[in-house]
Amino acid sequence: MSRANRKSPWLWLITLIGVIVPHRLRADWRQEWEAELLHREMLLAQWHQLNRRAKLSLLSHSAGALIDALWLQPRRWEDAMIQDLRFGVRMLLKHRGFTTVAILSLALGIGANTAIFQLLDAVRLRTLPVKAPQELVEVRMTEMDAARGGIWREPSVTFPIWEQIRDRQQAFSGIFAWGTDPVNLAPGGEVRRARMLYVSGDFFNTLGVNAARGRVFTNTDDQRGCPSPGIILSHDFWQREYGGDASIIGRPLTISDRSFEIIGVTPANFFGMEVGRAFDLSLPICAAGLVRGNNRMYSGIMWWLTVNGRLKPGWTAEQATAHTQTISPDLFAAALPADYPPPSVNGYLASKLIAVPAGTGISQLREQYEQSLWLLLAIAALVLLIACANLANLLMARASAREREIAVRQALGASRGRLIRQLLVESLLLASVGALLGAVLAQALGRLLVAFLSTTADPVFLDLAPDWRVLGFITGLAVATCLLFGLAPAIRITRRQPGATISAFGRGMSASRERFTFRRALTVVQVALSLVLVAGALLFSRSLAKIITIDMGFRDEGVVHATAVFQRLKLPPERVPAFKDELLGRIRAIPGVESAALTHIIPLRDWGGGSAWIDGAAREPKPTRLSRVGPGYFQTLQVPLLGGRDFDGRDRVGAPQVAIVNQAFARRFLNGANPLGQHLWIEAAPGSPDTLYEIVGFVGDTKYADLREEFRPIVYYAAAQDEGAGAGAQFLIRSRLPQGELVAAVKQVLNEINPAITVNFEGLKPMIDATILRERLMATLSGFFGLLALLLACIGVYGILSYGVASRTTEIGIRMALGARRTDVFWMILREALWLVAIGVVVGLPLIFAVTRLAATLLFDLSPTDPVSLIAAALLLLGVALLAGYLPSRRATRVDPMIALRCE
Amino acid sequence: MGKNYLSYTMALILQVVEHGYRYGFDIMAVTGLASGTVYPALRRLEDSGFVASKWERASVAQAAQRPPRKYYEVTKTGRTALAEARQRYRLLAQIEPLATSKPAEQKG
Repeated sequence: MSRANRKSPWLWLITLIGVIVPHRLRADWRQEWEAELLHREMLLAQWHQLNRRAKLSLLSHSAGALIDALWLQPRRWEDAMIQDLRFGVRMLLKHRGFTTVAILSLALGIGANTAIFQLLDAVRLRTLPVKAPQELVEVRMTEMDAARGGIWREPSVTFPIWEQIRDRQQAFSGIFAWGTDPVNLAPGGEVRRARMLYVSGDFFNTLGVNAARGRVFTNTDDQRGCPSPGIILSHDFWQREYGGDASIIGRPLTISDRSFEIIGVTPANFFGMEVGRAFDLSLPICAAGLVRGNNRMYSGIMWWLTVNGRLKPGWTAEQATAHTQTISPDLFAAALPADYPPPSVNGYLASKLIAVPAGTGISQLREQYEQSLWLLLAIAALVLLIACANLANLLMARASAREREIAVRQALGASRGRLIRQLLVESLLLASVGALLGAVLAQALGRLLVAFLSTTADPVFLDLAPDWRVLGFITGLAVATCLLFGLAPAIRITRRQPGATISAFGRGMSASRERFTFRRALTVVQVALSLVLVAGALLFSRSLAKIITIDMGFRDEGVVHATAVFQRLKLPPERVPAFKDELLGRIRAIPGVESAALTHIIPLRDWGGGSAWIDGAAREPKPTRLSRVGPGYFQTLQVPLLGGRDFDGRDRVGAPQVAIVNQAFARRFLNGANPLGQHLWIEAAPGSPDTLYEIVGFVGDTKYADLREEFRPIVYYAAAQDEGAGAGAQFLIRSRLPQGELVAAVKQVLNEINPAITVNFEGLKPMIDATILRERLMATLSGFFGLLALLLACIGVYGILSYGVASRTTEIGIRMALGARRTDVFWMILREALWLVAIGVVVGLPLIFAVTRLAATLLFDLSPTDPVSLIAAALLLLGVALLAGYLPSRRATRVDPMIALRCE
Repeated sequence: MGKNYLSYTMALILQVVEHGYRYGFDIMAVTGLASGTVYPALRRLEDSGFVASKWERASVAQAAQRPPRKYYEVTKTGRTALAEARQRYRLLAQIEPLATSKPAEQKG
């Protein structure tokens, strides 16, 4: 055995490397290597070859043992993990009640978070499904203050500006313009809408989107005059309208009496450039005139196109901006329309173009809801945090039941690390199952949210298919929640001395003091977080209530908005006013219709503005809202006529121009003086010079473009005095009939007049309700989360009190034996609930001040520290605490001193 | 590639074991492969059930004044797998067992 005493370096190496070999295999492994090395050493010594070279080779051989040891690493995990997992599953199945509660609350929390994140991912984070989206930029105007005419969207450019950009730019390898417009597919009767995407010839090529069937447009399709326009269908439209018919290419599709040949279908994942709104059909821009029946879309005063470019290799958006800024002066000078309103010409010429990254497309949905969604995500995260605190509390409570098991395992030699890992594996199992269920739930919730944001007039399309971000988010949540609710209890449970627990029988409370304090702290955190959520819910509900009950200045109930289009009748322009009057007369004659009126602008949907000044005063144009309406408009919306007259048959083309103004106009322009008999000027707009109007009527204030804004000055002028009216008319109809009956009656009347008239209906109230969808979304979801938080807080308080009563049974027994009355005991327990909530409120209030500031811009007419909401939230939590504390307190009064004492 | 797929190296080691080189270091010596290759391969062959390992009898080890060595032998499934591998690696089939059971290098 002398050899074994002088250990050679290679044997030392084996001992050293052996440390990392899995414990179970270590002894065998070391022995095998040592035996081989010793045997070899002995052989070499026998042959007298144990020279330097042989020794080096032995050393290098033993270094190879490291690789061998590394190869064995997976077994260490496999074995221990499988053991832990099997044990974890057994423990969870044994405590079904706990497992169910835990998994459900986690699934709900993770599901809600994921659903909101999915939405955010779809509207904000995801790039367009096109080639190299990071190279795409939008070429837009820095501001649109000098834009005059029809502004369809902001920002946008006119067709002449687009042509100039296309011809002058040198920063982009490809550039294209696009605009959207709803079209009607029905030849007559009720309108069947489809979303038309007008694109310039390079649209698809620059985006790198190929046709799934047929072909996409090229530059030859987008020529002036549009000699042979083909039409492209979106994949969805092709499936929906044609059932995915394979022989679709070459078939005709009729829009506005014009037949277009179907030349292609786009891939399923391509929805256009606008996130949230998928297109149905696509035509070259040159065909817009054919569909609309006029060439106004190509004039320099129709702002409807968005321009996107693909940066040349090596170019940045900043370099492209520098380039577009340089070409802007000449470009706008060339694109200036001849009849542009003189006061705006200088502003127009000074306009600048910039290039901003557009890899995520543009989205109205994003602008409206992004902030709300981030806030909702934060709220949902808080709910998950509360759920985690609740679970941690439950785990601590369960630990009392398991402390014997853990103490025994510790006494038998289980290391603390191993026990913590075992407990964490159980938590991870819970979190994983919860996350899986949550992912399923998120799909349903996500669809529900999209449905919430959709209106009949404006359906929302979002691709919610989970991508790597969503999957990463769920995985992250699962791990984070597991650590949040599992780690602290695991560390605390295993901290105890095994001997103390094994020897301690009965229900002594001295040992669990410290742990009980920890659980109280958890409950206080829960209460504080719940307070934040409940206060938030109350704030958003109150904000919604305020906006719903706001005085709009008119009544929208019972009013239906109808749009009739009679383009197909090809009426001569001079016949149009009389024809509109005939339609209106027939609609008014329908039994049950109280009043009806023509209008060009629907309140809270459309927008028109100009600048005005009072005749005789200095020419200082101030902004005012404009609205062209017909006789009976104020009666139909029940806007009070405060003086003068409504429009009537006298107000025709050629008659003196008349106007009606509202109170805000009188306040702003006339310092509150009576406007009747005064004259006002409206500054020149495209197609009309400065015009003088006589004020013949004076009406009450109404909300105009947005419910959230204050009353603004409005000038109404007569619809019948509009010379450029097109072949369509919008009516507002107030009736006693249910909407369905009214719609049927109007359709019948219009059909009698001419079946080629198309018509579209919308209730005014739902339309206005849709403008406050964001407030509704915030109130509904924050209310839901607030309730959830209350419920969880309730469970938390109940849990801690029940545990307190159970562990203090002996103490209560002694107290009662010594003469404590039942009410004393009752209050002793309940007092604790109140204390917990009181401390929670004190901790939560500063949190509220910090957090609700983020919500300030989403609140209407309400301070984020609105005292009513805060006090109500605190009282609500107190009430819930009393409720949750009642049962355990009652149970405490039922303690029988004799039984309690005998147990000891 | 399945767990039971034999790479050329694995097949070579299996064949060497079949030819009677039953200790890790002998296999290294006869194949010229490094210990970091041979041992992990033996573990995997054992996992797949192609070789089985046994500890040398304690008396043998005691006589030589060293711990018992672990030796490997080819199992029945291992022999089948080796036959298959020989079809795939034609070169393998041409390697003949050496006349003696002792590794050549040790004699020199």
